[in-house]
Amino acid sequence: MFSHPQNYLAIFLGVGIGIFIGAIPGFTGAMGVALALPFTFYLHPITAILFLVGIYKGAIYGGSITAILIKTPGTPAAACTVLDGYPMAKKGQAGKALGMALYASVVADFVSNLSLILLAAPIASFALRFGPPEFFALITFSLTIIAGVSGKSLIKGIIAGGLGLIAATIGLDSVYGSTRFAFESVNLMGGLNFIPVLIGLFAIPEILNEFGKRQGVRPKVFDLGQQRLRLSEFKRSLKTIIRGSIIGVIIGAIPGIGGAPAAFLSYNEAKRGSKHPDTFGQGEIEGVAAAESGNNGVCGATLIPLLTLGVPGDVITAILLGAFMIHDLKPGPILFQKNIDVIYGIFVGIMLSSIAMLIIGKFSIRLFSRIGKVPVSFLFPAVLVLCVYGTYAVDNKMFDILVMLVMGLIGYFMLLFEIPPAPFLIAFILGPMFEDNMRRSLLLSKGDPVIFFRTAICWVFLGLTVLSIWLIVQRNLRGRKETRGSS
Amino acid sequence: MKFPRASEPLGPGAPTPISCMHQRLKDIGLGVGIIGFFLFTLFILIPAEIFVPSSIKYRALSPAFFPRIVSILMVFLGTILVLQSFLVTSRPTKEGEKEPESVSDEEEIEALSRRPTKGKIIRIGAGAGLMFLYYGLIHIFGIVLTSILMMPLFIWLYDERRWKLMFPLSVLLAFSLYYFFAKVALISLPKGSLFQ
Repeated sequence: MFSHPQNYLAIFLGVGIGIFIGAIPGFTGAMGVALALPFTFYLHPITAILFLVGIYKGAIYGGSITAILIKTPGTPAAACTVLDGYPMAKKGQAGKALGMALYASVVADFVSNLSLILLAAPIASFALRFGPPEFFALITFSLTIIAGVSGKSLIKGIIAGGLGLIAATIGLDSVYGSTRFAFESVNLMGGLNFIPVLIGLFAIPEILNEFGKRQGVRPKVFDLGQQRLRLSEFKRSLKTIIRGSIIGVIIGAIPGIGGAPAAFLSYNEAKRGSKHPDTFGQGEIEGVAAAESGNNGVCGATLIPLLTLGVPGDVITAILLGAFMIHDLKPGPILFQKNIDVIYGIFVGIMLSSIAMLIIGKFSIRLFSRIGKVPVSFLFPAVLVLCVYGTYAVDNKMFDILVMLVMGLIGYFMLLFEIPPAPFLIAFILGPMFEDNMRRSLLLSKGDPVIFFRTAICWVFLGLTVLSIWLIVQRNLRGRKETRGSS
Repeated sequence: MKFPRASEPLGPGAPTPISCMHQRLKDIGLGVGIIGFFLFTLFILIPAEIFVPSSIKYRALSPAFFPRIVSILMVFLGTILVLQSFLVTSRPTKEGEKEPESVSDEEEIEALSRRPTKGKIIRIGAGAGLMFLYYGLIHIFGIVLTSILMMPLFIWLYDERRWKLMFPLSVLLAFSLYYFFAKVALISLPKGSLFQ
């Protein structure tokens, strides 16, 4: 099933587009995957998912290009790459830094994909024991990932999550078929479509925000220079890359943490283990290797909770979850039983995506290094037109374009009030699953809430939820004390 | 028509940095807004807009149960946000001690860059207005022609004046997307009332 040429094309095209998007400051991987989603409806599910995964992986690597060349990480995950990548570019070693970023990313991506393939099946077979109460407990735990994507303020993150939960209730109730917040509108009775909400929250606020910025001020883009990465330098950094990859895999498998913390943790570990830690931050090539292996190590591993449990670990996997649903596939243990061909197709494809990244990165590094010079004055209007076409194509409904624009305005106000959009989206996706499993459990138990504590699995996930909340509260209190202490 | 520059200050006189007080006021406003909206949801919207069948035996199975729980949670969170903002504001500082939440230079610069200025507000407002105009015009002219007409306007709003590039790019993009969606994906794109 995988060997169809369009799957190869999807991977290479996806990785190429992903690198392009990741290399544009202000564009994120989530935005790229969201914009590409409407183009995948008409593809075979495997082709569609591989195309989107390709964009995801490409964007994570692409973020390092502008991080190195113009000190502006293309994606948040590449923030750590700036620390040593930019000083290297200033020394005329941009080509070397980009080379290391590429090879570290490819190795980490490969390790991460391998971990996904090895771990997914055992976890999925365990998850087959889950019924509605177990899923309710699991999704309750998953909702705590909102804390991980809340940014500076936990309260505002939870508020965003609450808004997402309420938005998800619009439409017909899944048990009784009653209308909720439909205001007698036929369009609202069907509920809010996932893609207009997604594009509205992630693309439109950026487009609006860019209107307010002074255009024409171009950043200085460093040249690649003459120096290229030597094999000895790569060998010297291999230990750091492997360590970073493993850190990335562990962090990626835990929902809600993401690429940026993995990169910083990998960087700190590399610095701690280095014989010359004082060179870190001043153009140390191992620093670039550590950061890039950390953030790319996350990519494959974030698919573990998504594919095995149906739980998205971050925003991009939340979008991928939506993509699966659009193709009538429900990620989780059942997918491994009913659609094992799809799973195998994805596994083969994502292994190939590492090779695609290597080939595209190696032969087009010079081209991608010029992306920072592309004027946003043309890019953002083009993205807007793309959003309008793509949103309409979801369901052939003009109403969806209106939803996208309204969500865009809401997203812009969220940006002004520093409310993160990621918890909104995660809650919007998990909300219906949470409510549905809760009500189905209560139907089974005839209203008795004891059902939520009936098995050890429930206890484990509810225990993890309590532990997670306790840790989040502790971290916040500690952070506040440190702020007071430092002032 | 000349649009004001993004950096133009809101009023006369030198721009003042966004202070911690401004941030707190913003948080208080947000908290009050959240409380107000979700109290309205709880007491007006849910009873009016959620039909609850009379046959429901258990309260937790009601279609209104989950929205109600979320609304209560949001009122609670809004209250915490307001209280948090008040508590931080009213926390006494010792003589000579720095404000507890004083911001660093980088944060100050970031806050300055986010500062709403007259120019910014007008440009963003115009951008948002054009987006809704785009939506409205699709009903009349269809998606392709409207995109060709609107894209140069958006590009212009981004301070770009290379007209020779703007129009060909708009036409190329609109027709490329039309080709993909209408010919490859076989979607019937909106033609507009004028051409139907």
